[in-house]
Amino acid sequence: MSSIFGGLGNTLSALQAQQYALDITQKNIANASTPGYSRQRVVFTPGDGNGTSSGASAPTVSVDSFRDRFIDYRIAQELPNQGEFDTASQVLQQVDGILNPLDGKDLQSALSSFFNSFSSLANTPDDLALRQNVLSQAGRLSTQFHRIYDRIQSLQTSQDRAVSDTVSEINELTQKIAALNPKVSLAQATRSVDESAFQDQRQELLDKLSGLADVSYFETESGAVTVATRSGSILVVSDESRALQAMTLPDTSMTQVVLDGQNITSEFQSGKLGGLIKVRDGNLAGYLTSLDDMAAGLIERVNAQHALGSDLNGDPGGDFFTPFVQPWLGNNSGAAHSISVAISDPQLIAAAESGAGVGSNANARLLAGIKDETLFLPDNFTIDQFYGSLLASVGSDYQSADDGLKTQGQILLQLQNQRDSLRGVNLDEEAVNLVKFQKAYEASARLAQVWSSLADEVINLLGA
Amino acid sequence: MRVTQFQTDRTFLTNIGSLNQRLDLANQQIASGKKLLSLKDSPEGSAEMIGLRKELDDIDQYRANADIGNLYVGVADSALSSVYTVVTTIFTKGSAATSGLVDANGRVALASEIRTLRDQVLSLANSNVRGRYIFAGSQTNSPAFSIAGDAVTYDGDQVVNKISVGDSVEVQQGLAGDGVFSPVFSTINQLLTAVDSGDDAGIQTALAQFSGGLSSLNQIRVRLGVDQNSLLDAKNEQDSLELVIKSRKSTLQDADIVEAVTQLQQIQTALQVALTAHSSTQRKSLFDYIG
Repeated sequence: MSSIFGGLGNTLSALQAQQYALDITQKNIANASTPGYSRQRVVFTPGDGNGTSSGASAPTVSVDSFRDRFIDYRIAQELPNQGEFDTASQVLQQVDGILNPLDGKDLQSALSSFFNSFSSLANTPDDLALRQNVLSQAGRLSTQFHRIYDRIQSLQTSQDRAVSDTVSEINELTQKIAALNPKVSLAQATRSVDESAFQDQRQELLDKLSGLADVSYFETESGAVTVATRSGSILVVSDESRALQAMTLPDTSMTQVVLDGQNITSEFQSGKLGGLIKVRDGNLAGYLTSLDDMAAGLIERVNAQHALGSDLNGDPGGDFFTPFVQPWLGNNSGAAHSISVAISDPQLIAAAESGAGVGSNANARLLAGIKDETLFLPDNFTIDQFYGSLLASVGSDYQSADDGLKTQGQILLQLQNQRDSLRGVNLDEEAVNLVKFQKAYEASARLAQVWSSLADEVINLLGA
Repeated sequence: MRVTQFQTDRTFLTNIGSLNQRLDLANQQIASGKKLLSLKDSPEGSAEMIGLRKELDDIDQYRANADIGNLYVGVADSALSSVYTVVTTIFTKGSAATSGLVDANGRVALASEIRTLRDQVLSLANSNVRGRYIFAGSQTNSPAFSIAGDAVTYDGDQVVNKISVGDSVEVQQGLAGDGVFSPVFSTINQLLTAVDSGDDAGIQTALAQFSGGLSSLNQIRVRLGVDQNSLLDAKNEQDSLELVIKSRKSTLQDADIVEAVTQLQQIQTALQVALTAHSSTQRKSLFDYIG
């Protein structure tokens, strides 16, 4: 049998429990649009007594949050791909604009104009205006090579700078994660209400980090997460983080990622960082090599043919383009950047067959015919086919980055919806909870009134 | 499945985002009339386009070459036609110079006429187009023939230019004057010597050679005619090639405007509906109805 004051005490506990539940509801409503917030739920555990002196009838309350590590992990696995495709697609869009200008004034038109200027010259080989036109078109072609090459190269340079910036971002995130680790552990050990908030914060950071680099992480029993690179180099363990360094090494011209003196650049295959490195060292470097090969092939062939003819003075043709010297055997690096016309006097164009008079056009015709020669191995491409294949590879790189980004967006949309379905706040639910807890509170308060009037009754009895 | 505000918002934004992207694309297609806006729209198509544009540039060049070629061959042909007429006249004058028909004074007068006519042939052999001597081989900067006394000498060479009027299609740009004019001048010279000396037998011998010279002139004119036809054929061939290439290019790159406009309207409607639906349902929760 319960005592009156015992009953009042139980009622107080019940009021407190409902109030706590209202607090949590309020917190959920307040954070309904906070990104990364996991909704909380009050767990009521029934009192173990029936209100007698042997036990309380009011519930004990604790708080629980909605979190699914598996979905978190799936999302963290997909985010690097999105970071990579996003980076690649942005850069390739710019390459597309450089190679495929809307006004159509591209390398193809410059090449055609150059070769056809020899063909026009062949119609009247001693015409100085036509000779001057050949030199102008050759100059225009060189400028076109420079423009394209230099712009792609400057994209590459900005990718290189972005590698350093991204490494700094990664370091900042790993530091913050390391700082949160002990807080989560402590809150978990002390069953503090802050545990959920700390975990949410840390998950946000881990998501961001996953977008930047293809790292993996796992949570230890203490609640701390360990973060490592693809091949297991530790970035965060417990409250310690290890900073990546971005630097050029003696044998590299581009920024490398270094951890404890080890070059671990190749460990980053995905995420924004992996994307930057791949685009910089793969796509862009490949395009530049193609342009160099194209320019070097053109210089060599035109010069060789030009030397076989005679100029207006009857002398053998000299270098038409400034000869390109390979930095080392088989490497044409820089050819597209440096291509330039070697002659400025139009009389020196060797349009004539060797030894023939000024009216001979044989060499001009052969120079014009280089446009249809299969200069480029291994596919035996003509120069325009070679250029076309470069455009096709830029197009297909861009296409796959763009498709990848779209697919990845869909995958992440599904996963994030799945996660939000679990952890997100639904205002209807909270409204129902609010009414429920409010009514329970009112009922408990009414009960306190009943106990109070009972107590009054007893006191009045005593006073009589 | 529980649905939360975040999900609704995210899904809405994603849908609106993709609708806007499609709207942008349709707009660009309509504005530019092209469906190949970026290399990614068709990598193989982009490579093919480079080849097609090069072909079209070449076609323009080949046609320009054919026009210039036609000019040179035409000038050569008209020169040879005049030469034929003049040489025929020389033959007539030579025939009139035999002793039975004319006295010594008459012969001198005829010889002088023949020399004037010979100079006309010489001038035709030194025909030029904008200062370039067309019968001089590659020595176009000086006259093809020079004269000392009655002796006419060829100063050019045997080089004959070709012009490209199609992929591996070449036509000779006229001819070197030596082969066609030197025998003519030599025959005229022979005639003059005989007329000057009143050598009737010599005149007959020289006149006998004229028919051979005239028929070889004709043969060469026939060849020039063939070349002119080849140039015309080449041009026609380039014209029809151009049609084929342009049609292929259009298939590759041109947008179907009707389809693009229809699509634009569909997307706009979808966008409007999505926006209206979202704004009418937005942020409605139980809170709006209780309390």
